[in-house]
Amino acid sequence: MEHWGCPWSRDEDGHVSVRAFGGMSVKRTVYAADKTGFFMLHTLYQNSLKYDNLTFYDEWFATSLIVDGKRTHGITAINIKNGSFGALHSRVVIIATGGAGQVYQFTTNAQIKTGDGMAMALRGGVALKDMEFVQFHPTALPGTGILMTEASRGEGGYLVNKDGERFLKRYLPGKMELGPRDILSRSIMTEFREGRGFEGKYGNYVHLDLRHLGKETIDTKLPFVRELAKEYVGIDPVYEPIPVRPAVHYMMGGVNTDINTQTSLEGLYAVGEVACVSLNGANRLGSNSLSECLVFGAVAGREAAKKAKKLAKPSTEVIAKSVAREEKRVYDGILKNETGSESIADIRNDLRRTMEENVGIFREEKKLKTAADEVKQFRKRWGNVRVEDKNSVFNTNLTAALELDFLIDIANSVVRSALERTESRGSHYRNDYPKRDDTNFLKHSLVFYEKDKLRVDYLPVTITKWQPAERVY
Amino acid sequence: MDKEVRTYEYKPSKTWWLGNRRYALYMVRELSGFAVALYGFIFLAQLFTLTQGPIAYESLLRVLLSPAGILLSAILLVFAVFHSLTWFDLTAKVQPPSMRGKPVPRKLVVTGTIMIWLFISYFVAVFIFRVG
Amino acid sequence: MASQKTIKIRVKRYIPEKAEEPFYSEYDVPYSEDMVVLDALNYIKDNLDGSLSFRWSCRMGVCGSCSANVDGKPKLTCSSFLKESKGDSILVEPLSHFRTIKDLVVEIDVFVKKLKSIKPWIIRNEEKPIADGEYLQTPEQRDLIKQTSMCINCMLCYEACPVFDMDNDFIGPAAAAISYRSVMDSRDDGAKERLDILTSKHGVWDCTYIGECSVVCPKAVDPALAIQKLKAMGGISIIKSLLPKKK
Repeated sequence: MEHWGCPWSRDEDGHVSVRAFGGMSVKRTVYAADKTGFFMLHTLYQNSLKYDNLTFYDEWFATSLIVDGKRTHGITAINIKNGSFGALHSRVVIIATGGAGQVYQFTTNAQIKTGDGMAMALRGGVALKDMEFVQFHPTALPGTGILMTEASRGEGGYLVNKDGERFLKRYLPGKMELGPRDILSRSIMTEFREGRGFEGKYGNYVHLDLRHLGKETIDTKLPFVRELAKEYVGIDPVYEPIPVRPAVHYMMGGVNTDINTQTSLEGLYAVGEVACVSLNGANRLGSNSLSECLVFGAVAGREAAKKAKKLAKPSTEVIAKSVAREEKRVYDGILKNETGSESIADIRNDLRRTMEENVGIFREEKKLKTAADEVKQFRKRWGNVRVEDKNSVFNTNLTAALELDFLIDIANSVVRSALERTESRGSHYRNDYPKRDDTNFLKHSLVFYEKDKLRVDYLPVTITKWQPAERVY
Repeated sequence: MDKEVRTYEYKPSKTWWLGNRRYALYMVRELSGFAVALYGFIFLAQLFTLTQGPIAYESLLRVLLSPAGILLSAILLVFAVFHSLTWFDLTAKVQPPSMRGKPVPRKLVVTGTIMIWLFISYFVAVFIFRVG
Repeated sequence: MASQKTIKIRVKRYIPEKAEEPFYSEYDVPYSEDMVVLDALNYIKDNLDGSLSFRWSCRMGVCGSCSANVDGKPKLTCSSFLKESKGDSILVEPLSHFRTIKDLVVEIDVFVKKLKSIKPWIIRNEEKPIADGEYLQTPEQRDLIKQTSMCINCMLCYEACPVFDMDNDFIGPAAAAISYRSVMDSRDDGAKERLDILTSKHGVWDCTYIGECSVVCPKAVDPALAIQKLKAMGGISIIKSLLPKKK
């Protein structure tokens, strides 16, 4: 990435700098100011323009994977610009569609993170692994959910409650603000529960205090944090602490792949947040997601290329059948449905709210069961959804309905897996089962789509070098 | 799947420069170029009449020193100064001189350039009025 | 319960299947202090008119998707607060320097082409093997590319540029600024190649330094200054090429 021009922050001697991030015993996070992801994205995109053999199908909406039991043949998609429907024929498919934070009401994720790739893989016959492990990032702005990067804590920021104390000393005195995200989020929620949180328009919050870092450090190392806080909550972190609260940020779970990003379907690969190699286990450390994209992105590319040379051409019959079926489902079933009465936004808001309330940081059987029942209702309601916009050109009403369709499957996977895992592990915490249970649950959850129902199964954890031990910080 | 879509194209705006204060100021700056050119032309006319003898020169001078002539000079002076100031501002930003490795702050450069300009103008004025 | 304050949002629509010309739709949207235009648009789409189409993604001013004209000014709708507007009505229109596809969605291919043409990658005379480590770059050298590397490709600068309005082939502010960033990157050896592109037809010489691009840029990239600096560099480069070469 550096050779490709990524503007990493540098030490005086010209080498790329590293800083501390949560949960690490060694400083190993390489960074580009406080917008590492942004710079990586632009570096990758700008370099991709070098290659004339790459075709970008910008603003084509994938609706399904074309599979025939054993392998993949491509995807069906809508060309959003003109509304036409068809297929992209391909020997190999790499899914890199990211996570599904939008399934929760309060998230750092952008609008497009609706878990499309995960849901498509699930429907294509591939298992989703460890879906119950949802990461709540401890420091997001109340209301918008805009992320206040972990870098602010990496540079020395404090988390302070209503009484002005750095409350983390009661939860992890060893690491304090640089503890892992799940423990921090739980600690903050506990502070709220015990009445030591501030009260605001969007509920409780605590303070992220950067004042002691000084204007120069903030402007050099955390300029974007300062910009965002000033713009969206009217706070200048140089002079005032920032209000923050936990928000859904990352899905540790996803499409089940092996260490070479290969799924159980030949020719289908998944990489990045959408996948679950299980690199990140039950709780991801900060900055590992970006590195995962680079490392496994390269692996996926190489593996897919190798496989493409070996596989036979995609079958035009299978593709034609899939296109016909999908077209009927999407256009006759959803778009042209004149009797639909359910509002897309209403179902979506209800879904997000129930996930937030019942499948949050602290879980318990009763709430999870409520969520499971409600998700069933959402699926029913979605069957009667109304797409107001009947036009072909750039119909984002239709894509919103399709995204909601995927979201319901994702929510279902998360709830079912969470219900079945009667223990606490990493980011999955059960009030009714607060201890970790290695005897019964040292295994990955798998969710399969079978005849419109979800089946939960398990996969043993592969243990190589590091033996399971107690988490102490 | 590459069906054509009828997109809508707006015609380029002919009145964009009326849009805001900055655009208006930009137009003034561009027009000031004419003022500078006109001033240069008057100066060349003066030089030319000098070669034609005292009568020709005197008659041009009478025109230039008439009330209309002085008014014109005053207007051209204002535009020329405006033009020069915007130029100093730009060069200060584009090629800031550096002192001890760090670029000199823009305000300092602009002020400095204006001071040097006034300084030279003063000496030119002294030279003209003492000798002339 | 106190009555909910509302605000009128007037949106310039364009639905090619329905009409040849754009038309206006007006909506009443509940108002709150911390709402941005994007929130209002989403409210309309969710509750009042599902056919309203617009691009957005990050909602925090970093993806560059949500560009539009708000009350006649090029803005990101996610960073344009309702409370900034005077009066009780806000006008939202698509970018007019690009072809409208539908409602607020415009055709951006013209920009992607420009981006590709300036070769926004590192050009090296000699590649160093990855195993030998990174190209060294001091913090001071890194600072030279700081400002112009912030471009989010939102194209608000193209909307502000009257030259681009008259000539779509003009390389434009963002592409020039990104190319300047490449030129200034101490790891890049492609300065001559880039300046050749930038000083050719439709390059930086078309810019008349109106400067509105830098005013509307939400990331303070200052593309206007980048272009003037490129003009200076280009000029010097041309003069150098005319001088007799030293033997």
